[in-house]
Amino acid sequence: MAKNKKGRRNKPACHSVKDKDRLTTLSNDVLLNILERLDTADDIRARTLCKRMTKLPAELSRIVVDANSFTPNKIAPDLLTLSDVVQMNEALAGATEKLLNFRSQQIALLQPSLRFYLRYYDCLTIGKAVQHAMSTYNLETLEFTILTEKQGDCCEETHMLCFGKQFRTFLAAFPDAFAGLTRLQLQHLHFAEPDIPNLLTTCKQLKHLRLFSCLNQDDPAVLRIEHPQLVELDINYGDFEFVELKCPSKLRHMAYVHWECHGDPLSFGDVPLLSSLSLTNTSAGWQKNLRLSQLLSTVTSISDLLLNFESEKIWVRPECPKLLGPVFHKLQRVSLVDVPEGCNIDWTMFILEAAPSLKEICITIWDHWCNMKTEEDRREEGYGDKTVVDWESSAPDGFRHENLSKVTIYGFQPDDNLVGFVRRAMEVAVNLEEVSLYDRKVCENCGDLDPKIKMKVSPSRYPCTMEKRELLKNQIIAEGLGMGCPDVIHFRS
Amino acid sequence: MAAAAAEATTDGGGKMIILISADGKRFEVTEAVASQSQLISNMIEDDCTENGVRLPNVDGDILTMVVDYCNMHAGDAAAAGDTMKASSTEEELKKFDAELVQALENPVLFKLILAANFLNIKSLLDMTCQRVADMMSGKTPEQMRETFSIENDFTPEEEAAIRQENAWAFDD
Repeated sequence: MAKNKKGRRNKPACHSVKDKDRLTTLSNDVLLNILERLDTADDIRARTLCKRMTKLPAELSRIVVDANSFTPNKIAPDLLTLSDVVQMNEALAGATEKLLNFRSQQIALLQPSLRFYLRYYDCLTIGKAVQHAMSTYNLETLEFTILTEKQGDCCEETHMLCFGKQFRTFLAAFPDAFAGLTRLQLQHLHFAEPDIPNLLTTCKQLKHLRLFSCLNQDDPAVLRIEHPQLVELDINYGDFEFVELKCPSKLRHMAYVHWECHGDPLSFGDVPLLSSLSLTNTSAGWQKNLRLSQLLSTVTSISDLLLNFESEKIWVRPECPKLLGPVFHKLQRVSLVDVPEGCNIDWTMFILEAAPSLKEICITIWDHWCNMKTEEDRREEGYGDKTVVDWESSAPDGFRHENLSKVTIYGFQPDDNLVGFVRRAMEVAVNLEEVSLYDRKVCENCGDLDPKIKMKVSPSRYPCTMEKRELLKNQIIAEGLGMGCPDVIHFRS
Repeated sequence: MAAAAAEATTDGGGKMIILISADGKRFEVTEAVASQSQLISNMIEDDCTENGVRLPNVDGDILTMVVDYCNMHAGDAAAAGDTMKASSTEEELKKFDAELVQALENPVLFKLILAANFLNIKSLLDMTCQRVADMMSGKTPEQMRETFSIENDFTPEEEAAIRQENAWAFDD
């Protein structure tokens, strides 16, 4: 195997003279700078390459143990078999035990971060080692990413019930370890009352929580998050009918991906610090369009807002500045992601009208074929027309926006819709510095699409020559009123 | 734009200084651009850049790359002139950086690390060290040795002892 690799990696004939060792001759500072970027297993391997490397000061204060470092023969993660996972996780648990238990107590232990599979005996080993470390060192941060051996479509509800149970046992067995956790990522767990309150009360120090594809057994499936320390919450998929944030008073970042309820998917309690909010949904026809003025009625300090429509219906309802003003008054950056192609984007002006502090707006227009619903899915699942958004300007006679300095569009096409939008933005934003126009985004996987689908993708008409670009710039400027300089427009693809 | 900057002498980082590589190549850059090097920034503060800054450790071809990098990143530095800021977006910078490190052959990568370390340009040093770390990550010790032409100077007994000590890291 080594031989093959050699053939692939080394440069051809002109390099036949063996290059000299330039790595281990670097100074200690630089070598340590490099090793610090590796996970602990690679760090230790690198320190055994030659005598010089073994002499490096071996601090190993930072312990980062990742199941992937123990992959047999470096198999790609998606090709792992169950027996690979069993073997890796055992090795990981053993390593964690050694790294945490058998170390000089004089050396500080910083930010241990462990990414492992939820397997009963391994969790016992890891839990014990972590609990020991907690009692020996003063840990400021501690991070667990807990994986499950079944993932994606192969993970059925029975598996999730079983994983949920295993996690409950793990949590109950090592409350002291969990009490020191500052970051926790969980996936594919089935929760029932009172699992979540138990988890949140046990993990007193928790600052970052990510739940990926976790379900709730209760009826109605309401996820209540009540935690005084939580700074960041990320809920990705899952089947919750409603997420209720009860006074997470330190919460700053919130991301919610995919909800399947009719009305508002979540409620915010008192969140005085919440500054960044990201909402992603593929909204079906039966789902109500959200009124941000209602959804965010208790949120007063949003500065960054991302709304992702996943090439489907625009699920926000444009509202007037009077309603949105209190919610948007600190808003500085907005990203509108995967707005369906062919959808008129005039409606996005409601954000400019209601957010006087806005500095940047970035709009990505994209029918992302490997990610989006097919026509058959859409018909079966009741998806409606996604090209029309009802909107009426609150300032039909025009208005001035003093702060908007940057407009970015991905998936720009020289049609009336987008050219018109750029023109209007340039008319309104009197201090605009930069308009960046990019071609459609390219996704590596879209290349493998069914040819039948590929046929439907119309070729991009993005202007590629200088001539066409100049023409288009002039066209934008010429027909506008009181426009700035064409030089603010940049074609960047 | 460059001409205008060259004429300027005092206002906002417009003042020019000369960097001289080991092989005598001369590079004219603004103070703002050069100040990304902590080494040069200190020299500017101490007023000892008048006759050009000699960099006996850095070859001309490497210094060309360093100067390009600093020119691209001048917008980052708070003191930089506005002209640079407008010319490169965050997106372009990322692309520039990615292309720069990806394209480097081993010897050049390490020369760039040495230059970044000597000139004390933290962001360039971090970026190049990260590239080396990425090249090491996920490899067995034998593969690492091969990638970086490292000679295994242990006796078989010594090597066995080292492996024994951290047996868990070598189960591949």
